[in-house]
Amino acid sequence: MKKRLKKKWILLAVIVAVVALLDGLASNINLLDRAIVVGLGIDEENGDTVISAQVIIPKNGSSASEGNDFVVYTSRGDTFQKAVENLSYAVGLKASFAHTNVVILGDGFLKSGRTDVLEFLVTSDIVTDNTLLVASAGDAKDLLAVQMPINEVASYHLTEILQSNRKEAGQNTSSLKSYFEDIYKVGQTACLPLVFLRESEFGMLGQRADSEKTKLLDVSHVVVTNAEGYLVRLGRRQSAALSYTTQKLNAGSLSYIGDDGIKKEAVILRTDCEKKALSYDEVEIKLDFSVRPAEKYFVRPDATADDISDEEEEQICADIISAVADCFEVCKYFDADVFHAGEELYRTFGEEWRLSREKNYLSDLKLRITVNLNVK
Amino acid sequence: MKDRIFDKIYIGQFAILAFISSVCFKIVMLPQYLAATAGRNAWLAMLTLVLVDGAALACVYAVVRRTDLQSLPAPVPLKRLMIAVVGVTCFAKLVLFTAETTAYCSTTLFDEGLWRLVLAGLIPALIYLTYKGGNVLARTSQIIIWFVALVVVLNVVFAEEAGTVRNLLPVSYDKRVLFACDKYLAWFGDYSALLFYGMVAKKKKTLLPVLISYMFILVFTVGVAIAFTSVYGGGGVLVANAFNKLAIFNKLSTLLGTVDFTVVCAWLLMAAIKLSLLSAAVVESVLCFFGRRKAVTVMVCAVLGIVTFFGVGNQQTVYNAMTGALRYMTIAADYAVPFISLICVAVYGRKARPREALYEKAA
Repeated sequence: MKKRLKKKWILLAVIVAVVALLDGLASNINLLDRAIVVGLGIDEENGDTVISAQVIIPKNGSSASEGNDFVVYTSRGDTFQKAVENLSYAVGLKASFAHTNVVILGDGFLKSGRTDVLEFLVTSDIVTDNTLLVASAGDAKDLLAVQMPINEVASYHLTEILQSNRKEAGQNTSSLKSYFEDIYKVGQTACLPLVFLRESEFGMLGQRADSEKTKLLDVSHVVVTNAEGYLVRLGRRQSAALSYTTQKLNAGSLSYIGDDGIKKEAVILRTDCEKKALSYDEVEIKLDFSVRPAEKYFVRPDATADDISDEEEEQICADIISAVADCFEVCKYFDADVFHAGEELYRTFGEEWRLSREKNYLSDLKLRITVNLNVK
Repeated sequence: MKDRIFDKIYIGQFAILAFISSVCFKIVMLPQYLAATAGRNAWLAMLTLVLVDGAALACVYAVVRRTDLQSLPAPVPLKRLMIAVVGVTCFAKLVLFTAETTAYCSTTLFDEGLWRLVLAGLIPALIYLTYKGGNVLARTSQIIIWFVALVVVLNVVFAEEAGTVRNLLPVSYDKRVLFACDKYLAWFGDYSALLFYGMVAKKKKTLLPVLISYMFILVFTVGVAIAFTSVYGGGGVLVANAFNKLAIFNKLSTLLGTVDFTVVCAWLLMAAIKLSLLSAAVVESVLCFFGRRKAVTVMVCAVLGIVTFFGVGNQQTVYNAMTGALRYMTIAADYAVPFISLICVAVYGRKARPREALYEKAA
């Protein structure tokens, strides 16, 4: 009995020793001793990767709810991993990326054609799959450093715009997961929202208004990429057309010229998109729109007048078809299958199609676009 | 070769061990590997080999109902050869899965990726569980399976639509599927380690728990492969640690970080059982030739530690080895041995004493 008891004590001692050693040697760092990166910018400078990180330092008492100005740190390295290591040295604390909501890819970085960084992000567990990916019109670090009028922290502001419940026409969100899902489809084409700063027409009240100009983030454009990187930047109209096909929208508006010659708007209540392969060279994009005249939506919900006439409906449908076709043609010119029509053809016709048509299928591809408009 | 009553397990325990043994390492790296080879039809490769595994499980079940590998009524040279083949294969798989476990823990649970430290923590636990043998493993698995079930239920209840099954189209059983089946054989055929445990049955008709277990194996493994492709599409080739990525709490919010700890804990418990089962099979194999249990257990685990610590270096080394010629050991140990054992039981069956009789005698 005593011998058994002794053995148990020895076993317990071994377990305690192993646990204590593991914890001690693993040098895991307490959350308070970390720098929590909420937004990450990636740029390219002379072959080096430059990363900018919007950082919360819990030790210093910074938090999102208090609206503190989060510091932006930058670091560089010949590889992304090296730059990440250097970031910790720059901050003086271990940089933690688990709470990174948005990764901004600088214009120079995207055009450099480097795909290793994005592949590293998706293959490693340093950020989540849901992390938003956006492209910056200039350097990513400039975007992170700017102060927003409502939420001062640029990365939070971006996240709010792109991840909120509002799905507006013209906004095309992309997460790390969806980006790579698209890149691995037939045609290997993905898109990223392009973010750029523009001067705000609205001023700010208070002390800051005198000293600083207010800026706004514009996300109504899109950058189309393929497996090698940057392809083309789409205009506002084409980006809106793309958003009709990539997600179910429940905000934003369509403008049209009314029968009385006055410019009017209809609010998008809901959109839906269905793609169907009709033949080896033809894909149908069927768009369903539920809209309500803006005047009725905002001013007089119970009003019966101001409905959209048949002629106006036709005009709206023609505009949508024209925008989608325009987007398709621009992308086709750059050999970018932004609507993933090739993927639809492959899913429908299988290997037979892939073997006979996959190469240069875009050049012969016809898009049949139909729009069904429901006025509510 | 002497019968030891402490290595007898009940039918329910056998079913749970079969489930853990089969599912555990098919939901970590394998979905990514299969996706890289078979593309969107990776789930077909998984389905094919799990069906083949089903036949192997049936053979193993039929054998252990009557006897175990050490007590098999067969010519001694043949029996020793089969034991040696199973032992060597189990050791190769032990190295493979230990590397996967340490790689997973060090990359997702530790900052600095200290995989050797993870190994240092794992080996003592492995020595203890291996030494305790079949009964303790079976009882432990009976306890942990409730936690595993709870985690699975939570994930199902809180599941959200994160992908589309259209990512699986077009479904085609082409040569890439067969190539994937061939290349990743080492991740399949998980039941030969159970041949060392004779089964004690309370009732004569005892097939139901094993059938239920197999149904769960089929649903889990093929289900994870389907979910993986549905969620990640072709991008699955870049996504390691499938179960971790698919875990629901990881998807609910970006603010929750990259690890779902309930799933991690459940998986780690299963991994400890699976690794111990393999090392116990190696120990039993060695014991048929020489040595005492305690010394052999320490020796086997020490060799595992040394091989992994100094020989493997990184996961790629063992991946290359196990997708090379070594993978065909699975056919010999996990498919041929159970089948030959079944034939031996059928041919020399009358000489094999039923398990029930053994148990009653011991009691």
